[in-house]
Amino acid sequence: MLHIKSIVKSIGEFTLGPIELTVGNEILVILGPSGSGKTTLLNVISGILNMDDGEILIGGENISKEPIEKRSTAIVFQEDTLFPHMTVMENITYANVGREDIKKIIDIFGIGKILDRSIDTLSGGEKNRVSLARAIVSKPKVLLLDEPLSSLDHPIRKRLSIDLRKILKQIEIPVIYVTHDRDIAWEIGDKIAIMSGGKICQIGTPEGIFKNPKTVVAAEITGESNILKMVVIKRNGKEHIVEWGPYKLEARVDGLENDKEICVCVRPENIVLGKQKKGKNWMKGEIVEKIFKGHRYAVELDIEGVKDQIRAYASLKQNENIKLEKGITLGVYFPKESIQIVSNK
Amino acid sequence: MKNKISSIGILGGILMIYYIAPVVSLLFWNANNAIIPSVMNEDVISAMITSVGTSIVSVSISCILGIPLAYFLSRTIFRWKNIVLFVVFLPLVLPPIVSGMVLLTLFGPGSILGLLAMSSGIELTQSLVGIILAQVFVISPFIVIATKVGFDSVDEKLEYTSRSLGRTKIETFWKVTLPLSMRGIIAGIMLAFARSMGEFGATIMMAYYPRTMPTQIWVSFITGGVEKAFPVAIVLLVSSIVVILLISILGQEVRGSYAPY
Repeated sequence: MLHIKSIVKSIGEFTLGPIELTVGNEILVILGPSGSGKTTLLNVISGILNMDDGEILIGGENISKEPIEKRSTAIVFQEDTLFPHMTVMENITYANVGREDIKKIIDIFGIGKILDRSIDTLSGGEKNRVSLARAIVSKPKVLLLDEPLSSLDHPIRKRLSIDLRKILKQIEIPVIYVTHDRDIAWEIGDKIAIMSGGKICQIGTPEGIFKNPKTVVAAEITGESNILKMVVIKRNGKEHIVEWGPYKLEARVDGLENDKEICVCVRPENIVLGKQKKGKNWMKGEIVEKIFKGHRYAVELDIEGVKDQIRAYASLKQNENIKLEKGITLGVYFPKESIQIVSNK
Repeated sequence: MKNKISSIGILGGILMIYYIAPVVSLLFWNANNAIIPSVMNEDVISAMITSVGTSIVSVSISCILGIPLAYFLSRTIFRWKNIVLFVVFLPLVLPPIVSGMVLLTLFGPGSILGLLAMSSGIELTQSLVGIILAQVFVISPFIVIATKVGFDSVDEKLEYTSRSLGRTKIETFWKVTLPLSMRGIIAGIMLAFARSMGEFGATIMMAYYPRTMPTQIWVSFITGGVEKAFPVAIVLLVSSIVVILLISILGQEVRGSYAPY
């Protein structure tokens, strides 16, 4: 179990933390945009950077003052950090472990045939497998992964991320995986922590965070989102009426006062497109752009009476049925559950 | 593109000819069969042994003191770093004769250190110690600068990775940093050795005796003119080329076993 207690680290103008985090024998993905402090957090946990304040405990033992080599926190970087003057086997056994310990890991990563090869002859995917195998062979108490798959081509990355999750689940130690790639986060993480401006702004299961993002950053990094400004005009228990331009929409938002301006997120996949209808939460929108996305279409819509442009998705079948074309006007429906309030802080 | 490469080749070629021509010219100089007697001359043999021996010792001392300094300069950020680097460069910008004068003020017979050493029976000038003191002063910057470049070229993330795999800082230095910096270190050793074999100005100020090869050439020149100095110069030239080739071959062996790029 990894406990991070109120750690703070300032580097110039940037401040990481204070951060509180508990990671059991699970895979925690830290998802955040560039410059949010993900790598700094890993560097502080691994001991590469000294923290200004706080404590780090692994299995109840305070390792805050220990040097890197005494922390048992193997780190795998985004860049290739295999030792180029050693063979694959020499790299894997670098951590002073017995050969019997490594056989299983070599089999799991499928690198048995390249053990005698020099590092400069390996492909990107092979290098990643060797780096990860080397880190796991060292029997760390915590494994820190700093975007280790980001340099790979999409198909290799996808295949390796599936394999990696299976392997990481087998080793049963706390794993922190840092990335800005939400697809990798969904593939690998048991839990996801959203990081922004040096702080963790939300933590939860992948599904929970996707469905209920608490901040604009969480909404935008976990998927495409329409971030819109609305005003609460009527409150009735959990049911609210929110005003968006000329529209009065039913929404389910907790604990808000009347006349309060709020920021909401509406996921494009939750927006319903159809023939023009009158009724609650129905609006009129004109298609200004239509983008083919492989398994569906994304359409940009100008909503009548508001300045915001929104994005919605339409399936290939819907495209045939409704005849989606640039310039046509159609009905746009926001289900009340789809209107998620988010903090813009 | 081809024209550009040709132009670069011509310009580089002119410089190569400028390096090689005087050497070849010296080797083909009409020595009147004076080279063999020069090689057999007791003073020349003694000077050669002194030059090679002191150079080996000076390069070794420079490595022992210079490599840790280079590592410190490469891996540490501190306020006065540029001043430290300036100090390292200082012996390179001083004319060798001035370096000798500076060293004399510190180690000369009238200096405190000179008197202290004398009372312990050690002569800091006019001795092998004096030659080594002069050579280390002049050649050690080559080791520090070239080795620092070597250390700079090693990604610190490799060192962090090594330590996160349980290796200590010292183990990481020996197993990762040093092997990967070998190219810079060997370049520094070659430069330092070559410079040490040819060092004259500072050496002659610190030690006229025992004579090194450059001092022997100078003595031959002032006592017998160019005719007498040339055969000894050829001996120095050939011995320097042999030593540098040996270091180069040794360096390739070491590089081959450590750094594949």
